[in-house]
Amino acid sequence: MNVCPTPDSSPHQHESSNKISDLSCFVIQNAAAIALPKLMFNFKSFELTSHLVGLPGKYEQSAFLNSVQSRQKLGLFQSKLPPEIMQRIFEYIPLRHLLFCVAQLCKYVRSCIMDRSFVASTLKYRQKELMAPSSLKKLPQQIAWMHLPTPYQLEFAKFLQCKKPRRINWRYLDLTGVIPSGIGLIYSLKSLFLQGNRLFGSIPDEIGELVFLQFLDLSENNLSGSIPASLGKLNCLMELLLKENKFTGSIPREICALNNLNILDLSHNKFSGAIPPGLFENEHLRSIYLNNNELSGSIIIFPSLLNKPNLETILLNSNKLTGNVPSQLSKFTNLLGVKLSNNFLVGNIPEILAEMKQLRTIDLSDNQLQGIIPEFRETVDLRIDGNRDVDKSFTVVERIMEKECIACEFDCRAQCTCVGQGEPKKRRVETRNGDI
Amino acid sequence: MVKITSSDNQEFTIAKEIANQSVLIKNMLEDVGEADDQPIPLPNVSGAILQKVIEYATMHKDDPPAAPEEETRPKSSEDIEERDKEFMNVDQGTLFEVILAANYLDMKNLLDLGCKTVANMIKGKSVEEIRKTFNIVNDFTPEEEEQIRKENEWCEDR
Repeated sequence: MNVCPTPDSSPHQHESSNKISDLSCFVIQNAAAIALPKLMFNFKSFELTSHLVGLPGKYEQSAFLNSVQSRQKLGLFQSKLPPEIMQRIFEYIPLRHLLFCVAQLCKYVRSCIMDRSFVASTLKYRQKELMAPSSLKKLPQQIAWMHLPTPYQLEFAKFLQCKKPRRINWRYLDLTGVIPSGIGLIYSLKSLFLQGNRLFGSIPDEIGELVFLQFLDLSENNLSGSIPASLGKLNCLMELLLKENKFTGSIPREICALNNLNILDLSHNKFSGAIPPGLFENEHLRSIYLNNNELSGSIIIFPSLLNKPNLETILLNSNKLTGNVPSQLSKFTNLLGVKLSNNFLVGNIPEILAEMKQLRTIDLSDNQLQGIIPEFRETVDLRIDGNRDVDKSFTVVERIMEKECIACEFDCRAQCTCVGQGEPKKRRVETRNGDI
Repeated sequence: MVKITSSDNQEFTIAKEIANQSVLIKNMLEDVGEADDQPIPLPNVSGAILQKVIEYATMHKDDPPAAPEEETRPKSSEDIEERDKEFMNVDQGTLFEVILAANYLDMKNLLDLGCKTVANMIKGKSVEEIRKTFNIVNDFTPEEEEQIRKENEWCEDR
C-alpha cells in the first residue's frame, strides 16, 4: 500500500519520514480497500484517489468518521500497528500457527498475512516449514501445499517450479483439500504420487501442462468430476492410476492416443458411457482396469488396427456393458487375464478364445451368456457361473457345469427346474453359483 | 550533544553516540552538519515514549552495530536479554508506541526487540487467547468465518 503525503501536509514532515500519523491531510493510492480504515483512524481529513478498487470516487467523510468511531472500539493491535510491523512480528511466529490460528483473529491481521509481497517473502525464506516436493514423510510441523491458503498455494507453486522437482511423492499422508491448479507450473515433474489421501474436488485442467509426466497416481482419494481431456496432452504418461475415487462422466477418448501408456487403472469409480473406441488398439497398453464403474455399450475391438498387441490384463467386470464377448480378444496374444463378469453380455462364448495360449484367467460370470462353453485348456481358470444358459462341454478335469435358469435369476439357489438350451453332455448342477 | 524535540515539544539533550543509534537522526545530523544546534523535531514520538527510547539507547550504547538482516526463518524470539525483557515489561499501549517509534527512528535492534516481545505474546496461544490478550474484535462475517473454518479443517480434526 502506498501512502503519499500531499505537499501541503505537516510542516514538520521530514522528507525521509514515511510516517503519516501527524498529517492533517493525505492521499492514499492503490490501497487495498479492506485495510484502509484501520490505518486511517487518526486523521482528520483525507482524500482517496478515484481509482481505488471498490470505492466510488471520493469516500464520504461522514462514512469515514463512522467507521473511525467503530474502529476505535477495536484493540490496539487492529488499529495501531501498520502492516509492515505486523509482518515483522509474524516472522517470529511458526508458519503453521500463523496461517491457521493467527490468520483467524480479525480481518486486518488476515489481510496482513495474505498480503502478496508478504506471501512471497515468507515462502522465499521459510520453505523449511512447508512440505518439500519429494519428502516421503510429512513432519508434524510442516504444511502441505494443498492445505495452504490460496495466496500461499499459488506462490508455493512458483517456488516449486524453481526447484524443478522430478517427483512429488505424497502417498498416504492423510492430506485433504483440492489438488492446486498451480500444479501445472511444475512442468519438471515426471511422477506425481498422491495415492491414499483424502483429496477431493476435480483434477485441475492444468495437469495437462505437465508434459513430462510419466506416472500419475491419484488412487484412493475422494476426487470427483470428470477427468479432464487435457490428460491427452501427457504424451510421456506410462501409468495413469485413478482407481477408487468418485470420478464421473465418460472416459475421454484423448486417453486412447497416449502412446506410451502402459497401465490404465480407472477402476472403482463412477465412469459412465461407452469405452472410448481405440482404447484396446493402443499398442503400449499392457493393463486396462475399468472394472467397477457404470460403463455401458458394447466392447468393440478393431483387429485391423492391432499391429503389436501388448495387452496382458483386461478388467471390465462390474459395469453395465452389453453386446457379445468379442471374439477379437483372441488377437491379444499376450493376454493373461480377462474379466468381463457382472455385466449384461449376451450370446455365445467365442470358441476361438479357448485357443489363446497365454491365457490363465477368464471370468465371464454373472452375465447373460448362453450356448456351449468352449474347451479351454486345463491351466485356464475359467469362471462362468451366474449366466443364463450356458452349457459347458466336458473337459479333461471334470469341471462342474454351472447352469442357471431364468426363473432363478432372483434368488432361488436350488430347487428350480432349469431350461437348458445347449445339449447336455454331462452332469448338470442346478445351482446358481456352482456350489454343490 | 544533540537536541531533539518530541511531538509534545519536550526537548531532550543527548550524547551523539546515543542519538546515532537512530538511523533517522544520524542521517539528519549528517545532512544538517555539526554547526547547527537547532533541535531536531521528532513529530511522531511523544515525550514519554522518547524518554523510554533514550533509556534503551543509553542501555545499549556500547553494543556492536546491528547485524544485517539474516535470511533464516522463523527468526528466534527466545534470545531476548534479561535487561531487555525488563525494559519491555510495560503496558501494551506503551509497547506499541515504542515499536512505532523504533520503526520511525529506524532503530533496528529496538524494533526487533518490540516485535519479538509481541510475537512471544502470540506464540502457542489459541485464537481466543490471542484475541483476549490484545483485545482483538472478531470482525469476520459468518460467511467469512465459515470459509476460514473450511480452510482450516485439515488441521482441526486431528
